[in-house]
Amino acid sequence: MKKLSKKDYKVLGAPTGPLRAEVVVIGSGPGGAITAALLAEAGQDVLLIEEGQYLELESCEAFSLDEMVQKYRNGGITPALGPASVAYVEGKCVGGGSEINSGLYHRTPLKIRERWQKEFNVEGLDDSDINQHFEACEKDVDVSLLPGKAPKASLKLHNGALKRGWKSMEVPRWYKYAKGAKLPTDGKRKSMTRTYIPRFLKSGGTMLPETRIMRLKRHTKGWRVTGTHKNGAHVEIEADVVFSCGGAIQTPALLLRSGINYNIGQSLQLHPTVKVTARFSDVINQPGMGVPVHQVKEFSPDLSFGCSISSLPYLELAMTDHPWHMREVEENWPRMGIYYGMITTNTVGTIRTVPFFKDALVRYKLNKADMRLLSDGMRKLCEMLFETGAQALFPSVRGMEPIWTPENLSRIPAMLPFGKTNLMTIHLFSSCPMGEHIGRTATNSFGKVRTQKDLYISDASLICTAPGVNPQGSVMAYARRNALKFLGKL
Amino acid sequence: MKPLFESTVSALAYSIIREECGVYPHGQEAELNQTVQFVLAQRARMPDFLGVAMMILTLVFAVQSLFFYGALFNRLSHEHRWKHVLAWRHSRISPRRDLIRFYESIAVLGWYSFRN
Repeated sequence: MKKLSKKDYKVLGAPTGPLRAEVVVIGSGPGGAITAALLAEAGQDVLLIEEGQYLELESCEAFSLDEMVQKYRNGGITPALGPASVAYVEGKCVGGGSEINSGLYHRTPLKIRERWQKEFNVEGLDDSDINQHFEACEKDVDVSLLPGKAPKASLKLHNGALKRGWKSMEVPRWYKYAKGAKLPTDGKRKSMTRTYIPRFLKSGGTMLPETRIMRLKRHTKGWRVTGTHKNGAHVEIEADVVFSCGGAIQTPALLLRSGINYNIGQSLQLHPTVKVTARFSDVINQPGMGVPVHQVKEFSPDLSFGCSISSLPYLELAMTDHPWHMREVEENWPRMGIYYGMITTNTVGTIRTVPFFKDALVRYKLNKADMRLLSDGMRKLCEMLFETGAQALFPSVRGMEPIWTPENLSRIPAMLPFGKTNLMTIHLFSSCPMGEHIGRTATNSFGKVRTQKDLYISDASLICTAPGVNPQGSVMAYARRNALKFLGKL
Repeated sequence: MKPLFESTVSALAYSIIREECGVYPHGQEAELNQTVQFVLAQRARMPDFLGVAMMILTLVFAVQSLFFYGALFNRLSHEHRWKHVLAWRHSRISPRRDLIRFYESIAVLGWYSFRN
């Protein structure tokens, strides 16, 4: 196939009439971008639709307010409602979540895949089936370790874990480092706009950004896909096959709006996460320190620990739970860092459409066992931070006294309070699980929606249960596997 | 309704920044105004059904101060405003706490981002 140069890329503005494509892919995050690229490279006529803008990765500073406004859905103000609400974020731009996350890479752990095989009867998950897809994606996005020393804030957690005899590791990222690079900042993130999106466009695929798809309707010859362009124009597309790749919230929301509801949007899972802000005696933080890369996996998959972005605005935000101590951040922020404890639980949430409103209602009902596990996680995180020299710890629980010494750890209640604990997550999945267990799954093992012809899902919705690790590596591998299966190449 | 809503959000953001970030509105008006605009814009970006709920609750917050202090929230002195904020922050009713939490988070994040 002839490869196109950049000036020949087909990126559409507002359509002036109906469109037609063999395959429509809705959503351009890791699932959609890989699906679209592989299908276009195989010679299919593919239209890739994205609700957000097509922006360069450098259109704004990473983890800044501009990024929230340009690339996050709803400006990052998206809560899963419940007894303890969980704040989450979704990417809304070409490339989706890959444009805004830290780029930390994990394969799906073997134990988790075995569970999916056993409980959901998922086919094609053995090492011999799936490892080839992990390896291919890792090569495509240059999964690699840092060339130099990790940021000090990251090493603090690592050393704290080692001192307690707990397993801690540097997590590789999808990041391309120049030859001879010595610093973690001497590289470029290999998001979808740097990898699969250009491959898709070079292969003759067409992209339609800034278009929100509202409904899918099946008719005798295929699918009618309707929506609205950002400028208000009505969009109508005829397609033989549709892939929904909008992520764990938007895919079920679209299917529910379209009247497709068998096991859709009823089993959302996520990784509820608590945070602790730590103050040390030595300097561990500086502007542009880069992304912390260590994670403590001693108690995985139940509990995982890591370090968050710790810029001054985020430190101040974290300290709103401790308003009496906010002003000390300005003076001490180079000695402060934000750390997290993330749990894996079987609790599920739901996604619903709300009459007369366009956004989906997301509910997630944490239970007492979850709050106890979060408490256990917070305590272990604090133990590690004290072990590595923390002088003061500020948990993300409103009104809780700061923890000044290991003896103060008894201040952490055995069960964190529902109404006062500030929880967040960036990992959402399992809202349309895959597998051959008809009672529990929305699609077959390869993403084909069970009750519909020529309709597929390829995103984090398919992941059967919380994997306990960043899910993007899994999403990419299953998207590749499913696209090749669709093409008859498996 | 809209002018009252915007005046209330503006007054609330100023109070939060003054009280929690230790800033008095002298010489930093540009950053304060940017922060207020950011808070209003973020409320508008919220999921639509939550945005409507937040707007209604904000108006309730504004009007309730009439009964306690004899004036709408945006017309109160800073001391009275802050008392009203604290009453909602420590309320036993969770939507009241959530309202303050929301504005506090956005105002603090906005202020420290624009100021730096």
